[in-house]
Amino acid sequence: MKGTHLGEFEELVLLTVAVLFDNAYGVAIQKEIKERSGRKVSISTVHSTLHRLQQKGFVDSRYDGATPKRGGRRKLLFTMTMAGEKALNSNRNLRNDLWKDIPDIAFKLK
Amino acid sequence: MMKKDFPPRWLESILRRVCDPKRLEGILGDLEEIYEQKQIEKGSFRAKVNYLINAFGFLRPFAWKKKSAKNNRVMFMFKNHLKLAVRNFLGHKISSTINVLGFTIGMVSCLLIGLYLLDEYQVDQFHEKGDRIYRMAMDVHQRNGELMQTAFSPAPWAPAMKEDFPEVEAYTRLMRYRLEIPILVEGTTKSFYERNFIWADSSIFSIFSFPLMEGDPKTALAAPNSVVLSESTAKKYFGTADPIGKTISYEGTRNLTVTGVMQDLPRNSHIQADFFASFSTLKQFWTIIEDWEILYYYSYFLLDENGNIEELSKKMPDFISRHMIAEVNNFFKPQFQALNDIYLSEDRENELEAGGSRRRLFLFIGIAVLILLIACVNYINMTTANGIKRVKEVSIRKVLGSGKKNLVFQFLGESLFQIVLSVGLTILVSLLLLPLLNELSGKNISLIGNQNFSYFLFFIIGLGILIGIIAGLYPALFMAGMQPTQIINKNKNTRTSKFPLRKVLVVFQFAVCSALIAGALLMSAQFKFITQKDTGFNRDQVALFKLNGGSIFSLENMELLKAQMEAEAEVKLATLSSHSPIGDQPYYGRYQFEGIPNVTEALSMGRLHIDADFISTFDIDMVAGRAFDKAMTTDTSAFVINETAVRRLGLSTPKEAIGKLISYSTQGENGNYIRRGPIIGVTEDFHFRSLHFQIEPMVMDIQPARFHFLSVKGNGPGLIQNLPRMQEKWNAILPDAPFDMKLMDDLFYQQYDKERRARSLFGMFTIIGLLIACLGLFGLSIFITAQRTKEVGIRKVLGASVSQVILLLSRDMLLLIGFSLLIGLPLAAYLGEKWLTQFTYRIPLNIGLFIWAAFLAIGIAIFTVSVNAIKAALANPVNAIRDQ
Repeated sequence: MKGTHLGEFEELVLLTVAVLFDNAYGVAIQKEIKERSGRKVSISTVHSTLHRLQQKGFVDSRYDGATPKRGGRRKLLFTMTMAGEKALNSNRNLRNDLWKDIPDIAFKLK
Repeated sequence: MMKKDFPPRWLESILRRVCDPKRLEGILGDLEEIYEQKQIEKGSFRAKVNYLINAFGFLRPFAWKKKSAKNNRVMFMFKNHLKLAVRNFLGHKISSTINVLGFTIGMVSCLLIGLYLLDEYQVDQFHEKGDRIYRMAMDVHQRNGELMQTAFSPAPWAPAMKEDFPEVEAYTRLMRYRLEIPILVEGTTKSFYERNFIWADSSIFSIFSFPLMEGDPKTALAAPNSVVLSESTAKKYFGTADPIGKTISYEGTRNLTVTGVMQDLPRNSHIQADFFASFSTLKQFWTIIEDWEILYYYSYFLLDENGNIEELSKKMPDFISRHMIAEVNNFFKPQFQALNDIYLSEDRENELEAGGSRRRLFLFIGIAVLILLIACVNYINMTTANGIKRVKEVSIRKVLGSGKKNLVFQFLGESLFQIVLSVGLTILVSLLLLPLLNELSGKNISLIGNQNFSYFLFFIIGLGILIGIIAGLYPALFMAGMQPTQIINKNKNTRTSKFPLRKVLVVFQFAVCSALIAGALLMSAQFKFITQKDTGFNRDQVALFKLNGGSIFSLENMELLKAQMEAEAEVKLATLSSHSPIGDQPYYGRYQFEGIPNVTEALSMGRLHIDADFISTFDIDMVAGRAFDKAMTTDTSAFVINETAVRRLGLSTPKEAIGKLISYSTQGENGNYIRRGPIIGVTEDFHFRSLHFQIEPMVMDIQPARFHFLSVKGNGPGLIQNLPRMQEKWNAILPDAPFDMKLMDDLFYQQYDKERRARSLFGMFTIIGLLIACLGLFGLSIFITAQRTKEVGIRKVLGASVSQVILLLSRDMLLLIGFSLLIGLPLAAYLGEKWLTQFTYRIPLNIGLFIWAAFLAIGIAIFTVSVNAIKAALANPVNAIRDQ
């Protein structure tokens, strides 16, 4: 198992997986990211990030039932694990702490 | 059904092979979904492209079948192969170095030649409408049966053709005077001689893609007396000031207004111009412009989209009959050349710029391929020779169950490793050598920062793969095919090595090398011949001044200048003439002869106007009669002809020509008049043009109005040192005129620049080829000598002398080399003979030269082989025998 650090893009993907909840598969994640952040990412990048997340234990994957679309192929669905949630939370806490500790004067200087 | 079409099965199977089976279905499904979406949005094709791009995105490690045991084994084998390749490389330092060096040298030569070719093929390719532009050139069938192929055409044809033929969308005519033109800037002392001053119709900028930086391309050259300058020329004349609206003076007589500035014409254009001046200006002073038969212009046509050049050219005979008389069709055969073809097809007479030559390109491609093959042969020889040593390794691998496929991949990997190394070296070396190539070829090729670089990379990778296949495959198959049983009779097998392919390859290498040597010697000899042949006049210590340019050079000024020059102590003689005897275009007149049997029609002969000192200044010998004499006033209407003219007239001796009358029409100050007079002398033939051309019949007379050159003969070597004083005198008499002096000797060698370049390039590649072949031979001789160390030791113990041993070790090789000469030299003789036929004046194929070549080849081979042989022969036999 690799380290548990959560990179910026990984965090984005992980959050998207959480948002899409029961329908988080490659294309849907790619679309969601594009709609929300305007970032164009290739499908292979999404998969490679999901792979990394899975290696770190932040997501689980399973196949759902076949659909007539997609050439009859099943979707590889991802769901967030507890560890994933924890990682997101700790990231968020870290940010919140940092935000809190910015002295007001730093904003005023602008 | 659509689904079966796409994605293609091969793509799916690649993914299937590469991807982790656990995710494969999801990945394929996602790809499919995106594809379906794209197909609706952007259509099938874009969707397919997109699918491909996306699919290749998955060819990265995360998706690989990592955990599977099989995959691990492949990775392990790969690493193992790499390790073996490195070890093997380091373990055989000499052969590895020879291989890598050979590949590198071979690839560098190929690459540089490739770049040269690329540059040649890019000439004139930048015109947007280039595929619709044609030039009308002319085949002129002369009355004497000779065919003259010129790039020129008459001026009035193009406008008439536009009238007559709807498919002609536009035309432009270009005219460049044969001499350099003095250009002056009013009110300043700036004046330059300009070679690239071209008169052009206003449509030039809409036909060719020569972008204007300032001025309107449609109208810039519409009005008479307007001129467009190139950017750098504008800088030269006006500095940073805005040139538009400024005036330059053509020959000091004609003011031209600058109406535009164009980007400097690209180097890879067969039209090189610093000035385009409006063609309509010519009507004011160039009287022959209305003539339908005078060939002095370049006509370019832009056809419309439906135009067909073949059909146009079929209509030409009719056109000629309509505008002139039908009989002209017997003499004038217009030829249309596609713009893209002009540069590389064989040069016609009077080309704007000397072009490239397909034949020369093919020659160099051939050489590049041969050099590369020599390098590949080295590799094959060295690897198979070394391979015999590795028979043990191969056998053990086989015994342990390695398949043939596996072994092939291992050996291919080894060659690949060396090739990758060489490719890296090649890139470095080529970048370093590029300036040298530019120097030798007179080009200015750069790699960094333009599209050439992508070609370059593409080319070098292609080259690497090609070499890998040519050089790597055979040794790999050979070694993988060795039988374990060979171990047992190893000694028998290696000792006499009845391996014929290696011998064939060595013979091939040296056949090529000896042919290259003979070719290089032949080219050198021919070059020496054309540059050292007696041209019939003496150019030693002669300096040439240009006096061309209308009113600046009045006859009085020219005579004064000549007199002043002659007064100098360092100057022996000076003469005025219409043409420079070196590096000038020929000029013809039609001469009517009287009193010569069988010659009734006027004959076209070379025309040269000289003064009374010309023949003595250039030391031209008289074979009959006398030269012009200042003291004889009647000589101003007399003629001197050359020996070839005498022969053309059908006279048996030059003496018979003396006293015969010549008349011809020439242009004087008051229009055309007939000049008539006797022949007073006959000169020995002299080469008025370079030795590419036959000596032509020549008629000389005195016509001061046409003088354009002053030639000054020095008295000893002081002429050059005296240059500043000459310039002072010049400036005193001709303050406006640009001072331009050239040494005849320099002009003479410039004529043979092309040959000189070809000779140095060929010589260089010969040396390279030889070097690689010698490397190979050297490596092979090391191997053979090492094989026979023990034998040599025993022979020495039994009393063999050093020379016997050397002979023993070198004999086989030298026999091969001797055999290769038998193939290479006749081949060289055949090709050399073909090459020589393009020269009018050529050396005979001479046996001595081939003996020299053979001698050289054998000498080099003996030296290479015997280094190792001598070392082995001198070694203490004890060391050789002891270790068993």
